[in-house]
Order: sequence, then structure tokens, then C-alpha cells
Amino acid sequence: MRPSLRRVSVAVAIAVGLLATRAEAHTMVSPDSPFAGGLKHFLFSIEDILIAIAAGIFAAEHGGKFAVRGVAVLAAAWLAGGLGGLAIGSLPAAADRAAAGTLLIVGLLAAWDRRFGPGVVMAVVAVAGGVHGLLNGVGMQAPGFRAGVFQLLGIGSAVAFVSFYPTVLLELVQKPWARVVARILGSWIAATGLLMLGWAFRSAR
Amino acid sequence: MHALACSLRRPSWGFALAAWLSTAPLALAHAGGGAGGLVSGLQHPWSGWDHIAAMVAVGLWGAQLGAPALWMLPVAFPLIMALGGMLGLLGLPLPGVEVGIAFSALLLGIMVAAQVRPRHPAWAAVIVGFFGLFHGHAHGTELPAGENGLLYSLGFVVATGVLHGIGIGLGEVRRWSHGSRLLRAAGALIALAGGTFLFGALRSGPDDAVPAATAPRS
Repeated sequence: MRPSLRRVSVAVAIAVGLLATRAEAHTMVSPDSPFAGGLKHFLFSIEDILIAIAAGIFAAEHGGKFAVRGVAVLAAAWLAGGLGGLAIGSLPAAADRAAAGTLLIVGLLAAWDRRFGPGVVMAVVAVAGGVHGLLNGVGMQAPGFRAGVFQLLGIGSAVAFVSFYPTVLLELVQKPWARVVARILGSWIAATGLLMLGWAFRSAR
Repeated sequence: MHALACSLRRPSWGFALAAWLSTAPLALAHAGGGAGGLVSGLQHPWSGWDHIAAMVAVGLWGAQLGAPALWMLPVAFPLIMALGGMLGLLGLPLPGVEVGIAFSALLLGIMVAAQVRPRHPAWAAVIVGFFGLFHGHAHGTELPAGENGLLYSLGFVVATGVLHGIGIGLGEVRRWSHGSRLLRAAGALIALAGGTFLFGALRSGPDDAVPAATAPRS
């Protein structure tokens, strides 16, 4: 295992350990808690799962270091966007098109498998996370800002968890077929994004 | 026991797959009636033999051409198919959809049967992508009412990919001693079927684009 991946694995293990302790002490991650609500919200939102996978693939295609940074930037941007959404409270209905647009663009980039500079990679990942986080934050039905923050922390944890899978596929397997699988997944996500744009424009007519 | 020990020594890959599979059903079960959209989407590419024949032919041709066409075709096809689907969703007409789908089975079957190798693999992607437009348009115009759009879209993209995968898997017979002939025979069979579909489509008259969200094709 690469050193950067080993560091992340250790960090994830420590985080899980800390969460488990909190669960016993404060029931913050009990099934009915806002944190668990955030986790569930993410795992029940296909478009959010797809963008997390696409962004994870795009970052991981640039190597292990990018993959690890990408996971962190995606989760942080998601959290920041979510906080922004909580503060704003509402967005125009057409904002949903932005989510479809990010699926299309990030999916295409993942399918393309072309190398970009670190700034571009992180900017793409941050925008994707920010847009979906913003939409999550606006749509959040938590009782109060504090509960909303815990929901967003749950979503952020799930985002980091899911977007780490492409890293597992591309960095740990390290086989040519794994890269092909990642690119095909990217094309499927882009295709879904394109169709979602079609749905959004059709609904608006 | 030894196999188990080996798999435990390589935990990350197996664990990752198992964990992912364990999360997927949760996601798919979301949105109540929306799951119906996923099932409809997954079923739709299987609803007509012309679709099935053409999709399998894409995989067979990719396997016959080898890398990079092997992955170029399954990457290019869903993207262009989605573009066609978007046109269908927006109600933009595409003339001769049924004829285009039938012709795709005929031509792709011929490509496999005749072992046609374009000078550059990108040409194969262009040909396959062109036909993807017709297949996508048909999918886009035939959403059953009340279904979840995202899940329907995801379902038919994944089902299309599965059909390509079946074609690629069958196409791997080329590695056997007489596999190449078998592969060409399969191409000829698809071309024959495509010819029948084309005859039927032309007989029933040129079908201009169907209005959005009509009943599914039989």
C-alpha cells in the first residue's frame, strides 16, 4: 500500500474509532440522530452517490496523492456548500440543472481520463462537491441549524466513504482493466447526467 | 480454506466490493415508486430484439477489434445514446428511428461477420455512436408515465452496458482456435436478424419521431 493511502487508512480508522466512542457517550450517531439522518440521506440519493463516484474516479485517475486530496476536498466542499445552503434556505427550481450538469461534466472528465494540473483537478472536485452540498443544504429539513450541521457532517462522512472506492479500484488494484472499468463508469455517469438535463429541461417546458 | 486465507490476505479489494454491494440496495430502494423507474429503465433495452442484437454486436465488434476499441465503443455508445435520449425527452424529432435501429443491427453484424477493421479505432466509435443516437432517442421518447427520470435513465444506461458486456464476453471466443470463425458466424446471424428487422421497419413505413412519453415499444 502506498504511504499516502496508508495514512488515509489510519486516519479513517481513527475517525471511525472516535465516532464509535461518541455513539456510546452521546448517541450522536444513533439511528435517529441528525448525523445518521445525513448518512441515510446521502445513501438514498442516487445523484449524490454518482457525483461522489465520478469525482473520486477523476481524482484517482491522476494518482494516489490526488485521490486522497480529492476525497478530502470533495467532502470539505460538500460541507461548505451545505452550510451555504442552510444559510440561504432556498434556491430557484432551475438549480437542479446544476446537479445534472456536474454529473455530465465530471463523468465526461472521468471517461476521458486525461491528465490535468493539480489546481484544475481540485477545482473540478470542489465545484462538484460545493454544488451538491449547496443543494443538500437547501433541501435539508433538520430542526434547527445545529441539527443541520450534524446532518451535513453525516453526509460529508458518507461522501468521503463512497468517493474513496474509485481510489481502491485504481490505486490498489493497479490493473489496466480497472482503469477501463473506471472510464466506463464515468461514461455511464455522464450519460445519466445528460439525460437528467433532458428531464430538467422537459419539466421546465 | 486456502482460498479463504488468500482472500483475507488481500482484504481491501474484496471488502471494498462487499461493502459497496451492501450499500447499493439501500440507494436503489429510495424514492418509493421511483424504484419502478429503475426497473423500467433496466428492462427497456431488453424490450426489443433489435436493441439487443445491436448492443451485443457493439460488444462483439469491440472484442474483435481488441484494445483500444474494446473500451472505446462501450464508452462512446452510452454518451451518444444519452444525447439521443435527451433529444427524445425534449420532443425533438429524429426521422427514421426504427429504421436506424434495425439498420444498426444489420451493419454492425456485417462489420463483425466481415471482420472490418477501420484504419483508426475512433472510426468504429463514430459508427457505433451514430447508431447510439437512434437507440437513445427511442429510449428517451418511451418513458412510462409516472416513473422516476433519474432511475429510469440510470437503469437503461446500465442495462445497455450489460448488453455490451455480454457481447464482449461472447466475443472473447476469438481466443480459441476456431473462435474467430464462431465470432464471424455470430456476426452473420446478427446481420441476418438486422436484415429482418429492417425489412419489417421499412414495411411498416418510415416512423418519424414518436411524441415524448408515449407507451413503451413492444
